Amino acid sequence: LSIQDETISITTGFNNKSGTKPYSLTEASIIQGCVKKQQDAQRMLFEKYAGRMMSLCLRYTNNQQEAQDILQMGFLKVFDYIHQYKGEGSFEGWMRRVFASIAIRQLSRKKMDFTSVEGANTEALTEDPTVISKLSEAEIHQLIRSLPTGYRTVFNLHVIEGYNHEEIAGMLDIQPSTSRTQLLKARKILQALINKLYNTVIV
Amino acid sequence: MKNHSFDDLLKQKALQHEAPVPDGTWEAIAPKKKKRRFIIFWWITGVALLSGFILWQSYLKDSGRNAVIASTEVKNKQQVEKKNTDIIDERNDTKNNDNNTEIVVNKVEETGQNNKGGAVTSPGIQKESALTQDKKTTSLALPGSAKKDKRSSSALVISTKQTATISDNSVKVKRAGKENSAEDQLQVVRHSFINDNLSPPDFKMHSKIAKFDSGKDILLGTSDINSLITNKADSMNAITSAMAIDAKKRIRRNKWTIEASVMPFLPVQQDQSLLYITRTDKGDMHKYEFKTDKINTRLQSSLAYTIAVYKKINPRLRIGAGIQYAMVKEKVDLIGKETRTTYTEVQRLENGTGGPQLITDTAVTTSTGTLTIDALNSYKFISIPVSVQYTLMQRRAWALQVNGGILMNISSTYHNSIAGDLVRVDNRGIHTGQQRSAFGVDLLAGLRVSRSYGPFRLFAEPMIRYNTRRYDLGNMISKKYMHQAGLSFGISYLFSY
Repeated sequence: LSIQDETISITTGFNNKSGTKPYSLTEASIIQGCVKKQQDAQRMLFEKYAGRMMSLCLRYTNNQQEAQDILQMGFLKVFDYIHQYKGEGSFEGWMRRVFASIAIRQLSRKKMDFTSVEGANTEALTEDPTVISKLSEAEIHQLIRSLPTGYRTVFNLHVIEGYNHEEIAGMLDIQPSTSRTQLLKARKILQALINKLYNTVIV
Repeated sequence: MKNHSFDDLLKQKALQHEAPVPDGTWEAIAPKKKKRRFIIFWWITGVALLSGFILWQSYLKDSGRNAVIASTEVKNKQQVEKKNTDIIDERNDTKNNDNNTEIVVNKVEETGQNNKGGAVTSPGIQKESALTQDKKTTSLALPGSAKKDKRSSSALVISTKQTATISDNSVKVKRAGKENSAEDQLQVVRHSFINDNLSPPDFKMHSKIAKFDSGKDILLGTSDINSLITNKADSMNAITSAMAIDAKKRIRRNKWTIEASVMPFLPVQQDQSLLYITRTDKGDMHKYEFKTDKINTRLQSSLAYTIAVYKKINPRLRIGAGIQYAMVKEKVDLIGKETRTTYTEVQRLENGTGGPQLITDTAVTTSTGTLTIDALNSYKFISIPVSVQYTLMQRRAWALQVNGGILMNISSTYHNSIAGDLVRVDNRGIHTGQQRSAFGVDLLAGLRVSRSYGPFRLFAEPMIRYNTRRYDLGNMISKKYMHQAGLSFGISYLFSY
């Protein structure tokens, strides 16, 4: 494995009865442990990535319970298929793709609305990149979650996960042009929302 | 700002965000396979130990029997030597006269065996004769205990249990502390031979009784009997052949058992924990979508029918196989929300370019509400039981046996009376299920009490069936392990061919 030899320190104390000394393992060691179905390694992997994966799940579905379901399914899939990760690209990226595919599969069981949302202020754009920098990660997360389902899904897949429009069209069973339109409108709505948020003065 | 910059900034922020993970998430996905592996491990270990114990007991029994035979013979020899008893073998053709101390000792050994129990073999019989003086010893073998030696297909073992002595002027036989006349004893010998093994028309052992000298103790045994009939080789061959054939017949007898049983049982289930079940019932003019809030399934008491054939391996051990059919009913309660969409064709007038036109349109009506579904579904299983029965106790007609083995599922079907397409959603993902479960093996254990009535035997057997593989059948409400505990009643018939 040519995995980046990142050291992970976990201080929660599991597998370490004293709980005082951090239990450190490299990511490669954890992955190898997971390949061998070692529960300690699986627990470490969960501790490391659960928060970020939960954030991913919440970006795909606004429902907390559904997000938790996707999180559980995702980790089970990761544990089952971790041997297929050959070290090409970052492990987190591979995990994200697994979780995203599960989330899409879950969402596809519902009818997603890809119609345009009228009334969005698509003209109010901010030109200053520092505006986004000043927003917190949680605020950005909330803004993305506030998008309509169709916009949000396409935005997540294209911008965050890096799928192209043809891939998205195949995943969501829509036309590539629909995906482009949805992304364009999602981007404009987000820009408008950011502008609105940035310009709001709390008195 | 360029789109790419905007996207990158958002992506960077979004990827760094970590959401709080709900409590209990790890516990829900932690592997839970160790317990089941241990159960299977202990089961296999138990079966292996039980098999080893049975084989060991069988081995001890055989070696113990041989040891008893050998020790009895040695004991007899020592006893006779101590008494310094003269044994006279007086035959019609012998040259010995009164006070003649020439003795013929015939020692019969089984060919290729170490069995010294006064064995008579056919056809490979070997005899050793020796002449000694003053001392004679041998053992008296009564053929009533003739049995087949397991290690030889044609050998017969005649166990030694009695010692006959003749002393002073009277001929007496000591038998289990009771004195009988030698002639009586030999009558016993003769009757035993004739009743149990042979009845050749020319075999007149009582006519071969020697005229014993007074004042001499005589010990008679198999060798004496053999020597008595040595000069009639044809008779001996006929005798031994008859004994062998008869013994083989007896060994074949009652080796097979066919049995039929019915077992009321109570299934115990281990459900897959489900998040929800969706059901879609779609027709030409309607579409019903149902999502459960509450799922409840209960298995009901059921019956299993079995026919099996067992082969007797030894007096305590039987092995057999058969076929079993079982049906289990499942009560299902589903409570949830259903959205019913119905499509109705309507005609309406619409102003067109050429005036009002009648247009056919579809009106959609949607209604939502709580729906409760009560259904009675059923499983049908066809299995092949393969088991070993070991007799723990045998008291006259009653017997207590332990039964252990496996049940191989060759067919499992599920009938779901709920219409529509069901999709199960659990913590491990969405499972649509298979049409039939793959080949599975369950573990079986029971304790059987039986009573015989001639060739028939009635039995009752509390037993358990442990399911090792979760049933995953098409359109099943939830995947589950289904263990069974029941009381089997049946009848068996002993036969041979």
